[in-house]
Amino acid sequence: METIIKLENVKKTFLLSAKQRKIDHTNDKYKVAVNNLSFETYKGEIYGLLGPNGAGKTTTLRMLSTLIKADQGSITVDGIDALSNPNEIRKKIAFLTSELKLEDFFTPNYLYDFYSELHDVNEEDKNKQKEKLFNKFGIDKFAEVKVGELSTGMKQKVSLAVSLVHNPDIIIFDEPTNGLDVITAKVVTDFLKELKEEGKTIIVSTHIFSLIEKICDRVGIIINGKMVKSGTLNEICAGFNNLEDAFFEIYKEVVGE
Amino acid sequence: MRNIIAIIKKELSRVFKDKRLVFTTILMPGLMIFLLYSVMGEAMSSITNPTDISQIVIINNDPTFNSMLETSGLKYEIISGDIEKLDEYKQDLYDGNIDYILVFPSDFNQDDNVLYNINTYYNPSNDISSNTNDYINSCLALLEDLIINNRYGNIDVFTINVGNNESMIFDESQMMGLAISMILPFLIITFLFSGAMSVAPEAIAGEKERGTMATLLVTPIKRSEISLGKIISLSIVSVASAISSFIGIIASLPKLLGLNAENGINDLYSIGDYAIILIILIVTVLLIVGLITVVSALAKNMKEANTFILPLYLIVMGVGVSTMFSTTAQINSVYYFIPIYNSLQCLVGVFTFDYNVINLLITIIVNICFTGIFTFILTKLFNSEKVMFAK
Repeated sequence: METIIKLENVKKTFLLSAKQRKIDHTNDKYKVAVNNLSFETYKGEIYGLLGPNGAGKTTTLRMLSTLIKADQGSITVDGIDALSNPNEIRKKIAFLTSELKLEDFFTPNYLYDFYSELHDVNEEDKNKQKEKLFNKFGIDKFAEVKVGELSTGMKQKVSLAVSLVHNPDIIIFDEPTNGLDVITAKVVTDFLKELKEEGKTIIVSTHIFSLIEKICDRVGIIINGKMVKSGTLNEICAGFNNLEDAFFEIYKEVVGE
Repeated sequence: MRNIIAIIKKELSRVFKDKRLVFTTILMPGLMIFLLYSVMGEAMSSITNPTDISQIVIINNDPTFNSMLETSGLKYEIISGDIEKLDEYKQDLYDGNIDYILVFPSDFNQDDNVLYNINTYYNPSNDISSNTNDYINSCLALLEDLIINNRYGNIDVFTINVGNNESMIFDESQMMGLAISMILPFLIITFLFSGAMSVAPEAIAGEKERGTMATLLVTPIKRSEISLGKIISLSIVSVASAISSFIGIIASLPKLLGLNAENGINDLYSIGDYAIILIILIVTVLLIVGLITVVSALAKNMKEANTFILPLYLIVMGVGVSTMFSTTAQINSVYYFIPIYNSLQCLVGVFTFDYNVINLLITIIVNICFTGIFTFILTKLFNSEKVMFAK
């Protein structure tokens, strides 16, 4: 199996402000968000990152997307080093997280065209991909409505479409169904499965067990910035009824009661 | 280059497709300035050239004084008064019905050995009364000189400009240029800065706050392309705002300076002068936008950005005020290495028809260099996760 994404002993530390130290009830000036994290993702699979809030999932994905840099360790995406060649990685990936917003003033049509231009997509490919994505998510119904006037679900669909303008082979989604209604959430998860059928490599981070069970080929459980277990669903859930039970047993072992 | 143009197009669309933003950022400054300075000009004109006729009560009027008052330039009407009614006249002065009371002694100037006392009454809270007081005092001073000369012979060592009404020889356009150079450079720089202040923080700190900057940062576009695109587009908007303000000033300047249609400023400067002014505006606005975008990038949100920028605005205004107290541009080229100050001095030079090409070139090069430095710093800031994603 071809390795597409590889993280080796990745560490990321954040400096805590006085306010943050007070909130976290700690005297430590630094917080280790990701601690010697290592895992691999193979071509054409959907890899799930599962963990509680503050586990380091989003930080990991932000490092993968080159928004932030790892303090230690190495990250390679399709053979490209994230530290030395972040721009090349950005050409190959789509990154979607709730922190990334689209400008309220512009329409989905305008934003799609704008980001296509930034990704250097030619006119023909742009129109083809646009038609496909806008049809898929029903965006053509509100393509000329300003983003600021759309509902959360509509915005998420537009963000999804905009992140895929360049038809990337690697897709990184942080909490893909966060804030979505059940119908839109299903549309998104079904779409992720379709992307997998097309041979795309997808990493999703989530704390929703059912989503992992539904779409992921392999899972990595992150707790306190460390990868505590990684493998197929069957391997993770061996001896347990379901992923949720397996997770909480692992969590208890790591964190205690 | 293509990406820079894409960023510029998007930023300009953001401004120019929003009618409200176009009105508040570009049109309104010019309109407000035109209205404000026109009204100010009218008000100042009525103070220095009062059209109201001063009502002066003179008791025991002296004919010599009367003829001096006629040539003084004051518009007035004399009411011959009666000393018995002085209290009545004082009440009228208090009520604003008359503007001045002048009381000569009944035997004024009849005896060379007597020190006569002349009483004057005026209302300092009344503009016309105060103005009349100035004229009357001048005339009384002249009358005193005349009486002294009559009594003791000509004791003056020399006179100045007696019979000479052409002592002021000047090029009218130079005078106007001087007046303009004391006001316009300060106003132009202030408007450039405020124009940039109205858009730049939102485009940088605002985007950080909303999360739209991060969306841009995950695309393959280079950070330097984002910096340049933002600075150029914001400069275009700032220049548009400054030009609107500039037009407002030029349109209101005749009223502000008390000029009539015959000696207006339309023909004062050549196309070459305006071209130089435009070049100075462009390189200055690039510098200002560069500075404000860097400061905005360092801020966590728009509120913080505006807090950081305000002291800079006050400093720029303070530097701008310095041109109001000088009548010529700096000659020493060293001063033209100081950004903002160099632009002000170049503008003073253009407006007073006395600019130095070397100093102008220094200004252009220095301002472009500083813009380059700010672009470099902004690029580095876009690469810094501590700056871009600080909460």
